[in-house]
Amino acid sequence: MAIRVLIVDDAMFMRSMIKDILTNAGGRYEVIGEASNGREAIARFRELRPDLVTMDIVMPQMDGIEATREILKLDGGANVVICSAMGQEALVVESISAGAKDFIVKPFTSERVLQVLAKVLPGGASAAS
Amino acid sequence: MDSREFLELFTSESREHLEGLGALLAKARRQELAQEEINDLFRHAHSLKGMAASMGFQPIARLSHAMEDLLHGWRERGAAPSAATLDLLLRATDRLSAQVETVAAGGEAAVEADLVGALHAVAPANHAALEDGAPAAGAFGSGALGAGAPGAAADVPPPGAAGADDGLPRLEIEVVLRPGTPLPAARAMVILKRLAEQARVLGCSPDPAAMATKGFAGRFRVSLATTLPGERLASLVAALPDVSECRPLAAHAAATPSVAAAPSAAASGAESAPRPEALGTIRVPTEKMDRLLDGVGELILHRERLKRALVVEPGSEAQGFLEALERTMDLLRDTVMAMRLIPFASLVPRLQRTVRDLARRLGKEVELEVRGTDVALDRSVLEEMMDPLEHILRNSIDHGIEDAATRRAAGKPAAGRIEIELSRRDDRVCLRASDDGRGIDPQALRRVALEKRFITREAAERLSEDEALMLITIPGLSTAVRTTDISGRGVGMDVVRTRVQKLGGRLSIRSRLGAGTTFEMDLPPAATVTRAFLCRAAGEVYAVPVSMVQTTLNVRREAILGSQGEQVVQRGDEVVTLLPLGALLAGAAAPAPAPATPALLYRVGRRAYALAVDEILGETEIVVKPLKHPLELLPQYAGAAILNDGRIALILDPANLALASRAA
Repeated sequence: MAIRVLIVDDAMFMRSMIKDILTNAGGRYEVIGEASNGREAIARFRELRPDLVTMDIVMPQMDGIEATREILKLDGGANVVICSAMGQEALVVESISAGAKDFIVKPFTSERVLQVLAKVLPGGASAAS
Repeated sequence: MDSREFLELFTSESREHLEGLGALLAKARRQELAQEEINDLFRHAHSLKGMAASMGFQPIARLSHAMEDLLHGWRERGAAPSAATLDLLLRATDRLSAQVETVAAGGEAAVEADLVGALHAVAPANHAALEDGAPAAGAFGSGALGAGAPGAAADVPPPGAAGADDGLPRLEIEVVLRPGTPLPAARAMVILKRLAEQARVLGCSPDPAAMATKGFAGRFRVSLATTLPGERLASLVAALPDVSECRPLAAHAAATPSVAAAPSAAASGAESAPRPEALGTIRVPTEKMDRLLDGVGELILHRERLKRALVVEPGSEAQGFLEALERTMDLLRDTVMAMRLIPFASLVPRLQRTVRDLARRLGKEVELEVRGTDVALDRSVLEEMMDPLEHILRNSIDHGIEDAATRRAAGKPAAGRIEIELSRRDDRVCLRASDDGRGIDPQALRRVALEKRFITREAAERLSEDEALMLITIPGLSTAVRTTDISGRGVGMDVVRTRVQKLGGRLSIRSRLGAGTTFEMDLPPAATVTRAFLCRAAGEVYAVPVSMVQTTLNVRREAILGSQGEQVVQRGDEVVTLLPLGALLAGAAAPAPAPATPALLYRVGRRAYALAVDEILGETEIVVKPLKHPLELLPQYAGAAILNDGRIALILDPANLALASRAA
């Protein structure tokens, strides 16, 4: 069974890029939803219960750190992976403290994304709570 | 999606962000912006940077990054920038728009170095606001990984008070990140969280909270309490993204080293227990480490003397003091030993160079594989074993591994193969070097040993295959082997054996003709101080390392049987060869056996031996000193020990005693 992914990023460009990478990963991932800010992300998470969330940090309305905290309150075992641009390392550190499992730095390569995600969910979808 | 579609998406979203930037900056010139609007400014620049970098448009990414830095400072401090700065930001926005339109039309954006420089000049240096609140590096106390620290991971359990005496083994691992790892501090945090899933994280150096703000070189140490072996944890970490290297460092003993004995000493024992959370690293010259260890060795010696010189009443105050002294010194010794541990990995480049150089010089192809590189050993043992190991490698390449043509003819791959493996077995270290060369012929060794009168015909016949292989380590014999050109091993194996013995170790050889040879060195993890049985034979005191002895026995005279010129005793289902030490060493005629003789039971391979002595004096700590020339050439001795009364006792090598008895 494919790993069900929610992509959160305010830039459609970035969402498309991540989606492109995941849908070309040999059926391991299935993108089941997208959100363009933190608030939307929480709503979509509640509704879809994805196995994995890729989370941008800097977004309008509610940022990814706040959204990560809220999502982990909903599900302590949620797998959130931060997708953030280079620089602002303190923000990434903060989101990991908030409970994110790992992070990917933009710009990223397909290999890099898949490498990091594979470490977060090594056993496939069944490993996710 | 193809790249053109991504470009379109990039262009349209970039335009939106640039419009947002322009509108807000224009507004800022007229009135003060709300915090939300400042956040938006920052976000626009940040998003633009991320997209441009993803598309590989470096000039756009650099300019928007410079803007982002300036806007970040504005956002964090809240102080409105000057009109000149706002103009600068507006100009940068204009240039970005031009750059985006250029790439949208398929052109290449120009680098705006001047503008980037101007923005950097205004931007506050490296987010100083964040630094103010961060604890200084090295200020890692108990609980810095807990909830209070800014860099704390939510699910890293705080090292609570219970941690001091949970009895879990302590270990420390060092993690090295790949050079150029993006956001190394964040990467380190992720690794710490992963470790926290497997073990209790006691501390990290440098402090994770300080990594993000201070210059972090991508190398950090984590101390852990866990039952998992260090190598296992290290390989787990090594598989994580961006980790270039991870290795276990000194394995600390459990936090409570034998303090249970006397209740009076328990309190002080707990205080002096190692505190792995108090990390921080210092560099110490190795000579100072050697001096420290020598000092500890001498101290232990003095303690043993003192114990003998004093008449101590059981249960007296003096006995309590002596016991406390003993515990403290044991702890001190363990700590010094642990400080001297170095991973085998540090010697791998040297081994590879040796093999490469030799193979090239001899025109052979040789592959080297080294395993167990994360095993840590005492510095002196590691250094001392390099010589014999390199000697073995030289022999393997020179005489063991055939040339490519011969190998092919024998159906082997053209390239020879050498495997070196270092492993720990309980209290011993095993270093194994195997080649897939032509092997050694034990029959031929027997023949040469006979011809050269090193052994008698009866002895030659009694030798097992493994024992016959050990003949190669008899001084002079290996040279003879070389000249008669028997399936080839070269000179100097006697040197290898004596060096290994000097370390308190044992050399064994296995070989299959045509298939290869394995040399195995069984070594103590640290050579300098060891426990030994002291025993007397033929009027002299000898020491036998405890690690080599299985048990002590009393052999009754009537149980001794004669068998093919040997004395043996039956022990359970096993026949044990009796070695009368006095007769063996002093050449004294075997005295009329006493009604019962004390003996030390040990094994060489599958064979059991009982070393019969006049008296077993007891078990004690000895400081091992290497033998001076020419005594080092005597295979039956592993070294010398200075005894409590200042006399010197020779340390026996029981394995070679057994061999010598059979060869005699």
